[in-house]
Amino acid sequence: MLKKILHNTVLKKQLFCFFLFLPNFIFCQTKIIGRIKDSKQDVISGANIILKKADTGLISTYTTSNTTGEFELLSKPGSYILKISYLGYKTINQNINITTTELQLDTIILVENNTELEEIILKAENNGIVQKGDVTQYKIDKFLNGTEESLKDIITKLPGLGINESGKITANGKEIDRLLIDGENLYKSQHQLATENISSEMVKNAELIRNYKDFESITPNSKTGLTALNINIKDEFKNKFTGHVETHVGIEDKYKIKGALFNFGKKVKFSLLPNSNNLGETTMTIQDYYTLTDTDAISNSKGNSKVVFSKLEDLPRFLNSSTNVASKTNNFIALSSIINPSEKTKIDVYGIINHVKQEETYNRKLVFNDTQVEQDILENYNILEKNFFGTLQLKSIYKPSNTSVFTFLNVLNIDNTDQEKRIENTTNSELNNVNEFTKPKKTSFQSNLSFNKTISSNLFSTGLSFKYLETNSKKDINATDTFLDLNFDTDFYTAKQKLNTSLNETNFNLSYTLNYAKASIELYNQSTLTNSKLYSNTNNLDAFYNKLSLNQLATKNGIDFDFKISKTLKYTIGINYNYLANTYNSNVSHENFLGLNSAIKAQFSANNIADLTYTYSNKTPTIHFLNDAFIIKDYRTLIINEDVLPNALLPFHQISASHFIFKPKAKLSYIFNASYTIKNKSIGNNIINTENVSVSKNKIINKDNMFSTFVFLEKSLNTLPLAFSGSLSYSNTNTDYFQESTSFQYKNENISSIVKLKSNFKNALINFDLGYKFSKTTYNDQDNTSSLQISQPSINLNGKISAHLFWYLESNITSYNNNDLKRNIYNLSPRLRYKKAESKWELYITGNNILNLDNNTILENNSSPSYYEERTSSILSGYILIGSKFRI
Amino acid sequence: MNKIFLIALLTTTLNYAQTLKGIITINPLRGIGDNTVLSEKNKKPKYHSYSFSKNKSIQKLISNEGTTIDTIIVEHPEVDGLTMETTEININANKLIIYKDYINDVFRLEASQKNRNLVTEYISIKDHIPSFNWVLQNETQTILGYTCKKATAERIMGVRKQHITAWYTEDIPINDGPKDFNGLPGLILQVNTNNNVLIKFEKLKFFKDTNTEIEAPKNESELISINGYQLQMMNKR
Repeated sequence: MLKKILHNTVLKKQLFCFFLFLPNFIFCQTKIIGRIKDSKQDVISGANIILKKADTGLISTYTTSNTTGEFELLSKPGSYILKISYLGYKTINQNINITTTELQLDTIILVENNTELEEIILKAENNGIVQKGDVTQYKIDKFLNGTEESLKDIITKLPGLGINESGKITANGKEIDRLLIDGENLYKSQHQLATENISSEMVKNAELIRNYKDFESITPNSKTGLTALNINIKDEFKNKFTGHVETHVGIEDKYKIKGALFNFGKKVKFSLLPNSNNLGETTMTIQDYYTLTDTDAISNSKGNSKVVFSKLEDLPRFLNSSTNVASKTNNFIALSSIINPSEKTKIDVYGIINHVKQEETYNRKLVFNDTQVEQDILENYNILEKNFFGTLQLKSIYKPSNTSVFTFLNVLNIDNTDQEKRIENTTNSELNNVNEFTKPKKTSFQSNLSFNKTISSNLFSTGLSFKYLETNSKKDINATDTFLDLNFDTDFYTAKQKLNTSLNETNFNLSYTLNYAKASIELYNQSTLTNSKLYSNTNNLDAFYNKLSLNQLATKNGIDFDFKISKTLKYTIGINYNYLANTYNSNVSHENFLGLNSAIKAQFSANNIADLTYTYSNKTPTIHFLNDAFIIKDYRTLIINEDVLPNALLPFHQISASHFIFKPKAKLSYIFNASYTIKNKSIGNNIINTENVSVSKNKIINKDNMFSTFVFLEKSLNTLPLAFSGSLSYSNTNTDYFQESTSFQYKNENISSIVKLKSNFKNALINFDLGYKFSKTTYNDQDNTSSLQISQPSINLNGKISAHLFWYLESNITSYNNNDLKRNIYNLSPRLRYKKAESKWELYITGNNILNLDNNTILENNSSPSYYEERTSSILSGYILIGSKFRI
Repeated sequence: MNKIFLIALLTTTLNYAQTLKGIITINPLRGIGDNTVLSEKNKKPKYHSYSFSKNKSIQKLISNEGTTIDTIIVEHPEVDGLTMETTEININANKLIIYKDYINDVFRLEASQKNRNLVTEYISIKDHIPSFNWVLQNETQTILGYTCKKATAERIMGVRKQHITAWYTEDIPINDGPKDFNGLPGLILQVNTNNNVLIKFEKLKFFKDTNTEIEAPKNESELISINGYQLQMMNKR
């Protein structure tokens, strides 16, 4: 009776939110009463109602709604998540706190969910791709033909996935954010470690996850925007040590030794990958170097805008010259392990040691487009470089509950280079032999502690990080004649430069995100205290003596709004206020500015997303641009600051747009993106050329714009096992520069395109992969135009001779064409692989570039403002190897 | 007239519903009792179709093997030429319909099978939808791409105790399952009873349609309750 009266009042006051306190002595549990309707106010009966504990996510109790749409649950007090779902309607997750003895909820309205369920098609037949919400599952057997060796061969065959030129995995043309092996991020951004070392028979299936949430993520927002590719390992390769050893030997002492040791356990995942070769194969790319050394990217903080890489920072040369070297020896080892001692903790150890020894030889002709100095410079270079790079990352995550997480990250990087340059310089037919020895030693250490907590549906996050970076660089130059217009006391033309920089940075950040049904608001604060120093000294000369110190306090306070305009449209707008206090060599200055960002994102379905973003912010120069005395770059280049102030604000605008569509059923993917960066103030060069020296002065320029666009299309036929892909990209930079203090413009245009046709016949004797690559780069300045055109048609074939014998053939012709020279390079790389099904052995005969077994040369065009360069470089010679692989 | 038309129009648009169709396989794993080796014929999985719409579900047997009696002639191991005759009887239903109406709490079962004497027997059951004392477990596994959670229950079937292990997914908010199993916070995708039988969804497909009407099967014999049927079976022994 009482219940009936109660119920009537409920009906009358349905629109109000109210809680009833009714003592209930019979049950010590709280009764939760609710009613479910759809948007048309019709009752929904048979809806699924689940009460989960907020901290553990375990089901406490559950029921269904009755014919009048009502439900009743009994529960102990505490905080819970009420999950309400019904077929064809959007699921509601509601946080509730049960304190009273009876809880009367408002009428719960479920909204129809037409779009997403259409995509839930299980076991799409004869297709191999299953789309389930945000997850695209690939049944890899459907795509393979048995010639695959490693994970790389699998990924390139899956529609929508690919591997780009720097070895990173792309999903619909865009690099993926996480590569997971059995759910763990074992190889960070070094995707090539996984793709080249995990053999194809270990792979069970692959799934592409959009809006991926990792272990440390506790955000209540389900749209994280992260894309992850998860590779599941077959059960027979789990919970034990597996791996392989590969050895190859060839003529002229060529060798390659490669190994892999894995253990994919339930609690511990382990991988050890050594690789040693003198074939020129590097396991580390320039992109890896950036991601491993740019610790801001590792700690994932909202990057404070700084101009990071300057002319003073020498990158190890081996990163830039992949094959354009005369010889290269590489020793590499990567260790990665992820340990889950309990459900609440995760320990992640990642270490890389890389040692490279390489020799480069090239000759170049420099033509200065300077009216005052009429000269041609011919140079013969021989550069020997040894580089040791080591990184160790240790990350511990503790997640006491589903609502809070602690992360502690330590990163140590060591980067030592030892470089010997021998240069024969002929300027106006006078010869100067120069030896340059450069030894930069970089050490950096970073420690980062962060804590995130969700408070009901809101997210609180805070972090403290400390970074120390030290670079000590020694440069000794000796020559047979005078150089750099230095005053040498004796006939020994020697310059010794010491260049030391150091950076101490402490960063504290705090943010709070409020989540509402249709909007979210994030408030954040970031404070960074930076202390950087620069010291340089050459031959005790005053004009070469720098001792700088820059202390900077930067704070950033901002707010970001996220609105859901409709089911498909989301709009983000943010504004931040920045305050900078600089102390430069005891001169104090203050600056402040506003930053803006805004984005509109349209998600038509899980695989059809378009967005448009705009960002405005300011960068500030680092100490590397401020040297008021000369610093030697090389034997004919000096660097000095002209008018860059430590408190200069360098504003930039960035507009970017992207759109991608992936249709799993039609196996069609399309991606478009474009971005335009406008800098009305930037750091550029003022170049002053004399006979023996080029002085490059850091100067504020008024134009530094960059535009780039990319279109990609891939289509696999459903009727025939053929896949077509094509991409076209264009980029354009337009920069001001100064020569003899007169302003000029410099334009660089690049257009490149790749077209491919690939077959994937299951039982055919032969499969092919036809491609055509084209790129054209044009440089323009006030009175010169130079260009380099590279075209490369290629045919790759592979097939089976018998059930155990596989063959592969790669062939291409690369033709280089610059202003007045043309050169064709033919490449033919055949390979045989013998593998018996049950055998632990695999045998190879590998030929690489067998038409160029002697050293060959290629043409390059490295033009830059103020001069035009024609370069002929040695490239690696081809080789023939015999090898074997033994599986453990 | 206009009014009626308007009402008719309104009701059709309001009847927004989603229908789920699927295929269920029932795989016998072992024979019941001490004889744990199944004959080749019995090892075959049995296929059922499944539909769920508007809080009603129906499961129908597709494969129709029927009852077979095979005579096997075995040579006497010791005496040449002497043979022994043995028969293998496989009793299989040739019709089986299970209907559950959650709105009116109605459970219906219609079955017909030939007995050992190859005489067709009809069974028609009408009862409340059976309830289970499910215990939710923490284990999860992925079935058909869905994350499934484990739940266990026990019940008495005639004289035997039946241990039930069910795997359900919260992602499909239907409190139904194959056969008479139901009552978990999500569709039951797989059931294993006493490790004898594995019942599993093989295919699932969602449709957005308003036309599917699931109707109760017509009874071909006198309606009895589940208990009544069980008593009948026990009395037969």
